[in-house]
Amino acid sequence: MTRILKTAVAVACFLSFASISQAEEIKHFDKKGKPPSRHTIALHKEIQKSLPFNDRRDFEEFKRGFIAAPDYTQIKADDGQVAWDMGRYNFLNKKDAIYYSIHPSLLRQARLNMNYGLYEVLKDKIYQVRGFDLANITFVKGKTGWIIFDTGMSPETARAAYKLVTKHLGKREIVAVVHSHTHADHWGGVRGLIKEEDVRSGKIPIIVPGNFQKHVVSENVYAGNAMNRRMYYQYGTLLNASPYGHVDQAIGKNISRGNTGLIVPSREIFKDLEEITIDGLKMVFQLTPDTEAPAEMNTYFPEWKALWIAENIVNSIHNIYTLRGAALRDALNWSREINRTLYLFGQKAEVMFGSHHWPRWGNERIQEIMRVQRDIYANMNNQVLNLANQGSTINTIHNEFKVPQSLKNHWAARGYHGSVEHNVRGVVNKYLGYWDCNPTTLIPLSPAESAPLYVEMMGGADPIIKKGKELYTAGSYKLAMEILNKLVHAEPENQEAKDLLADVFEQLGYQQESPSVRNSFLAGAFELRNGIRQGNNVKTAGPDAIRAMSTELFLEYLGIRVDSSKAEGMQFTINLITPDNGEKLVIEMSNATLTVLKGFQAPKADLTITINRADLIDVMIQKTTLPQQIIQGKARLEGDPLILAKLQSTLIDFELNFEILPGTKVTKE
Amino acid sequence: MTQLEIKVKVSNVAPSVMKSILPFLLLIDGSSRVDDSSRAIACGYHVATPRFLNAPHPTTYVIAVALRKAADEKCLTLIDPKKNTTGYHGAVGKLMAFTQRFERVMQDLSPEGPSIGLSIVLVDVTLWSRIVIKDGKLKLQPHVEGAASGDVVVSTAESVLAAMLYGELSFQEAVARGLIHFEGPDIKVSHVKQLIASSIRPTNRISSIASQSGKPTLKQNASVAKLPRKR
Repeated sequence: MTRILKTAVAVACFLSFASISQAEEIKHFDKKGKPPSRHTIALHKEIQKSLPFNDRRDFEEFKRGFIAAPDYTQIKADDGQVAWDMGRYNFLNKKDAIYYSIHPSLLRQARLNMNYGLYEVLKDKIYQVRGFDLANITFVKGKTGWIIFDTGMSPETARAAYKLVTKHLGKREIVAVVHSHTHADHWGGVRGLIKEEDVRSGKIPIIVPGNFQKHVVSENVYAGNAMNRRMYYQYGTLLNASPYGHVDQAIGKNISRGNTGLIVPSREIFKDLEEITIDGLKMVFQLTPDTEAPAEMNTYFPEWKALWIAENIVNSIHNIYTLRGAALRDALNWSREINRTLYLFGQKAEVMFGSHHWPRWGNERIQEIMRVQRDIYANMNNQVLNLANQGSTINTIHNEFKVPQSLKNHWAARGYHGSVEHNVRGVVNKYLGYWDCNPTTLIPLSPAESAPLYVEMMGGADPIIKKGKELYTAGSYKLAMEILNKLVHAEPENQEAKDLLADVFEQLGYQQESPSVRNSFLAGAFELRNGIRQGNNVKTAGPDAIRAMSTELFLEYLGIRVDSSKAEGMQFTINLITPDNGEKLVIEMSNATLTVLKGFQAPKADLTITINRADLIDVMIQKTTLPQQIIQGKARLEGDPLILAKLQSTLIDFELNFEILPGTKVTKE
Repeated sequence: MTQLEIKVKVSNVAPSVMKSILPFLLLIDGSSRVDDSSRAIACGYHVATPRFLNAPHPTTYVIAVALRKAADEKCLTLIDPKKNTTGYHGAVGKLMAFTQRFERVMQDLSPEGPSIGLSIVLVDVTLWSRIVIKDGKLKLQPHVEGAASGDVVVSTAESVLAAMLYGELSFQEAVARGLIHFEGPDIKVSHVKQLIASSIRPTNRISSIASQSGKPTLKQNASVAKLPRKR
């Protein structure tokens, strides 16, 4: 061995040791937590070799145009709690530190999402504040003021972003706001930037895609409680920020926890392509419905050859199926809309910027990214259906579908926000539903019912735990999960079984490229070990969001709260009139079911409630109660008031911390 | 159980001042014992977010309609929640005053009467409280979770309680107008009705006691303070 080679080996050994030791400096936040196993480390080393880490273009784009970072990492919410904290993720800033508890590709993405501060996108024209929320807040220069594209989720972080912009670029008024789509991380911060009266007076327009109001809350109401609970998993909302816990959220660092607000927009775009000039700036809005959101739009700035791509393109595969729970998205339509944008604007754009991640400069690069994103969604759709048409099912597709090699090697087609595995199952679900066509799985026993027989047939808990440990040691985590899951369902109080399943979940979590999937395994592990954790969850339905809810939607949600077993034999009809908006609705309880119909009235209702929509909203946002509105003369009842008591007696309040994994309903502060 | 038994001497406080601070003082007045141990989490005053169709008792909607009707017919002055500065303490103050009157009436009517528990819900403010009558003594537990098993349940409103205390509304009229409802075994309900009816009957007994002793106690002062019509 030559001297140079010896030195190189020594340096390599030192670097390798240094990397591990840096990671080991950080203790696991859970006393039962385990470090990555040798199998996980080996897997990550293998991945490190197989992915194109030498393609550093994302990092160059990520830092391009950097102006300044604030001198703080924490933003407090108005109610005193921490709304945003980039400092929690400082461990990712340790240059070259390798954490084997994090998938190497995810570690790369997590570092890219550490961008924090003010960036110039287009000289003297477009700026972005990144890393202040899950989404970017974009400031576009009009003749006299700023046009804001997406506001982040919290007023507190939006306000801080505006302050940062003002500090470095000088004071300019906000003259318009554009919400690119209906998700809260794109409109929830609006109250931190502008005043509602300025929107009402027409001074500051809020421009949104058509049907924004309809979709802005509807996605999250009916199954809202279950979605919130599932957020603990997908978003790891209660996991510690740590190499062993939460490291990233794929499209940004995390969700902010401020006081999300919504101002009713003043202008909806309904034309497929609509040109508007605001503050001297010409913009072409392109509607892209049923893509990443039911109502979404891109914007092209022809004078600047700049393309705002909203959330239709990100540096990741997005969710076709959202683990938190949401309506399935249409991968083919998404691909089609990206393609349309490519042919409309993509071939002339010189800069493309969006609501997440960093911009792309140069038309060649823009077209490359657009084609990669277009193709990954189309490929998932087409190849899944190709395989499904040959017999693949929802229960096999994730093990059979393979991303084409050329896409696999492109960072923008990696499965961060939406893993390939869970998305392809989503595609099958969209077209064929959840059933794999095997009668065994059509009306199966519940896991708790079938598990005891499995456990009995396997000889009881002891041999299962013994085998589970063997499989864990061998790195066969999914097999270990199969048998331990049966045992935990059969014996929810068996802590040894739960701890072992948690160990298995944890290694599987460490091995995931997608933070959503990683968080889900790690949250499951935490709950198995410690019970369901209490804490502040993300606020999803502030008063503004509830105001946006139609009366029909609100009442239909009441129908979801009815416990049918308590409504057996009940029969009544209620007419509801809201004179100020001219709405009439009929509510019927029959066959232990509550139904709502807008635009009709029952001829002989048992009760008629007359209340202005404005006063009903005060009840909906829990500013007051219906009895108080009756007492104050704002609601009038005709007929039998006890009908309301009857209806109330059937309603249940959903508990957020319902059990997902057996034997975890132990609350710990 | 935490019993609040602090005695406060307020004999020199002017009646007008007394009226405004009364609800707070009554909360720490040991003349009737206040058991604060079972303070509920979910009452209208302490939870800023009451839920839709979350009335504290089935009669709530009926009483709400009756309250509006009585107000429209000028038979009752409603407490305007926007102007109600005493909030929770005001409601508890009224319950305390009510309890004190019970105590006096009981001594007159049936000092050795049966043990009775009263679960009182003020439906307009979503506040449950409990009065336990045992061995001729009364104990008020303001702010409890809900009705206790076996209790007579009295559902009414803070406005009704105030009107009865201020002599604006007779018990009979409150019952007739559906402003107060009772639930429980007939014999117990009948006893409670008798107690309440006697408690709120206009009387000059308080002032005569005050004039006999020279220095009024807090209890007496509180009652005197409540006599003027509230506007």
